[in-house]
Amino acid sequence: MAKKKEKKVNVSGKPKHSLDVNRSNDAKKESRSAATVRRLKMYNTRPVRDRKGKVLSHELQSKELPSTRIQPDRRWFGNTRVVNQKELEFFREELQSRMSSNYNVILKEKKLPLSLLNDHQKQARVHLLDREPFQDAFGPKTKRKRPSLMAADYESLLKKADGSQDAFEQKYGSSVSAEANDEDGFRDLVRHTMFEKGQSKRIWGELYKVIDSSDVVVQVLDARDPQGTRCYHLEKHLKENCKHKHMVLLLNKCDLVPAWATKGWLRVLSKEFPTLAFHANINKSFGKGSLLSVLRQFARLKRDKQAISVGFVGYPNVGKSSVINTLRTKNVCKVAPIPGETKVWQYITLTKRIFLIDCPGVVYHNNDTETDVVLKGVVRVTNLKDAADHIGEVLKRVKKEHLERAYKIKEWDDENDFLLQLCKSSGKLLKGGEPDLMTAAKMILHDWQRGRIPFFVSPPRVEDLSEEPNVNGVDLDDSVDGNEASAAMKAIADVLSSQQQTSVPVQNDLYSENELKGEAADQYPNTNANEDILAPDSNTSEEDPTNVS
Amino acid sequence: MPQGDYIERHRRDYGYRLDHFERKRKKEARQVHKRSAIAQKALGIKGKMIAKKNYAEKAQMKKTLAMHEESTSRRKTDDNVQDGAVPAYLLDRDNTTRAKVLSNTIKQKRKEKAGKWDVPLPKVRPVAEDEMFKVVRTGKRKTKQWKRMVTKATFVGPGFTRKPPKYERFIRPTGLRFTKAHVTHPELKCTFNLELIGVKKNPNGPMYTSLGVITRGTIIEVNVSELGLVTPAGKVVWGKYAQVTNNPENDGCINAVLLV
Repeated sequence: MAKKKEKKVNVSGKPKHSLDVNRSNDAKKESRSAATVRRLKMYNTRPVRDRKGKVLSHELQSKELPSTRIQPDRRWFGNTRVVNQKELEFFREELQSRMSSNYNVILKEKKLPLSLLNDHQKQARVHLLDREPFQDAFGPKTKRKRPSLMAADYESLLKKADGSQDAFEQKYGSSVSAEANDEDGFRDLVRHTMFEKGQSKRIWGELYKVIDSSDVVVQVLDARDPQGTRCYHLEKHLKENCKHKHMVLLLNKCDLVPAWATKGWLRVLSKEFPTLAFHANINKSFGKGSLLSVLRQFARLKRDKQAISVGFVGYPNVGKSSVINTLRTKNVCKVAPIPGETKVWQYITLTKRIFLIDCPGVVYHNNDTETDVVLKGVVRVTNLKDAADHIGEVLKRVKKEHLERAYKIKEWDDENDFLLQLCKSSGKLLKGGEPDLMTAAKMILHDWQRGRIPFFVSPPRVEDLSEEPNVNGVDLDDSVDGNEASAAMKAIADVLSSQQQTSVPVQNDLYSENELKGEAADQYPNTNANEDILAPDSNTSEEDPTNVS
Repeated sequence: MPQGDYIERHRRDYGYRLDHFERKRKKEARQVHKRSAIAQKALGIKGKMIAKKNYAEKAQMKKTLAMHEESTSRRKTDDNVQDGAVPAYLLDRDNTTRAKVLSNTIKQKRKEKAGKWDVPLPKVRPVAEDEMFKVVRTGKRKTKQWKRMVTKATFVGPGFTRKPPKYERFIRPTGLRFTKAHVTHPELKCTFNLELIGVKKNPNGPMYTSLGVITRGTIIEVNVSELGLVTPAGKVVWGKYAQVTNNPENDGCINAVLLV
């Protein structure tokens, strides 16, 4: 349907009012363009009704039947895309060399015969002649007399079945323990629905809406626990189904961890995706210039589009809305120090060519315990009914000196004793002088979530202690070539490497002097912890006692 | 004079009645309706005889009209006689002009060509706009009615990203997006699961083509690298057209016939 051109009432070309479409597209004037005026009038389109309210006409809702005849043409029966053998070889070599790097992108995937370049392995050939060649079946030397089964007789079949059963029981030991639990007469408690926060259908619908509308997806991680707040399912989905979208990791709250820990995590995570450190504060932020530079390079990378959208996704309470407020230098998203403040997706304009999308926090279903869910900050502390059960884990993860400084308690035997002393010192008592353990536990969890109790997960140790910036796949010594795409990716790599060399600010009075310089002093006897942390399926929180420094 | 000729004698002696010729003309004009009424009312063998007679008259009339409309190019050439004598074995041959030869050639070519470049479904059921789009009400009070949700199957490219909400008028749901189609080769009689490259033509209109809407009869472009087609010049073919033969929004899959 062609655009309806209004009849020219005004011949001189000067618009009569602000919504007059007859205007020149002169770029020097600061008035609205004709396309903008058409779009603004589109917002007010409503059905035309008669006096009795019956709809007479509605735009794009007519009942007229179009003509559906397809003209006979010989071009329907020809070939539409043909590729030469030499070009095919060239494409295959180029693709092999460039796609292995994380910092190279294919701008127009539609023009390439990608299915011809990749060889399919799923159509494996049936090796029939390997099992039984022709000589065994035909000719004078035939040997085939009976069908080949798994077992020759009943006893060997029984032994084979027992062997398979034993192997299965060895492999899935948890089911045996489940059977044992059933024999004991106990079952696991049904988990409260508040621990399923971020996993509902509505929240994931919002997430997929944000991903569908984003060109760049920024996953915001908590610098205190980067691996625990990652969403591996989302990263896998982007790599498989949305190859044209870019993923950037953002380590937020870097002022709550020592600088060497932040740099270590930057080194580790930069091997997979471009990673930036960030401190979300409107007045005293860190990493804002780097993030803006990276987003501008992505906008330059997608120059053919009019604007790009950047979606901010991640766990609840990692600071996605705070990052957007920092980029805008004012409060455009509602923020709160509790999880679940953002409920629907929000669209924010950063520049004319960059839009930001805020997303509610999403949690992918994994094997986290309730304590892990609480300590990640997914659940609102005020809704907990058994907050005292999670204090033991807090006491294990936080150093003793930090707790002494925060709560002025010198010695305690266990978590109950700690809570008792805290109730007495802070005055959280019920009638008759009985200590209120619930309120004290909630106080501690609130301090944990808001960063008053310092805690962080150490990055895995790197064998070579060189301080060279580690950006995967980009040779920084290359001269700048004429390709705009590689120039943009090289600029992004420059931003990442320059940020890795900059000193990261840390909040005052949070760590002692030894901890701030304690990278070399932390020598772990258990070197297997590094491999466990790097494995994507490992439960990072369970390894925390050995890594807390 | 015979006894029955008194009418003719009276007309000769005293002239015709004043409205005689007008009445005769009108009677002849009404004869057609009268004969038609008789043909419709006649039953049995009487009806069969009347129908047979009418058919013979009609056929004779058609031949007469065709004889008058005969083209001058079909005339036999009897005018120009050669100076020399025609041999005896050529006396039976009829000479025709060259125009007839050319006319026969063109007719034969047209007959061969007719229907050759037709797609398997030349015409399909049309889809109106109210069936294609659904009104989406937005805003705080649900009064904005300028957005439309596409209710048919769509194809978006690999580099597709939705527009910002203030600029996006046509929403294509992710549940109705397709990337593959079941394409049947009409000569090999086998079916492949091929990837879509684009939507070439939607028979309902060019707006649906640009939106990537796939309905019945849509011409789509598929990736045929699995078939291993090669051109006579030795190049590899990896794109071909196919036409959709089912209703994808009802069946949940796209069935198509490859256009070869």
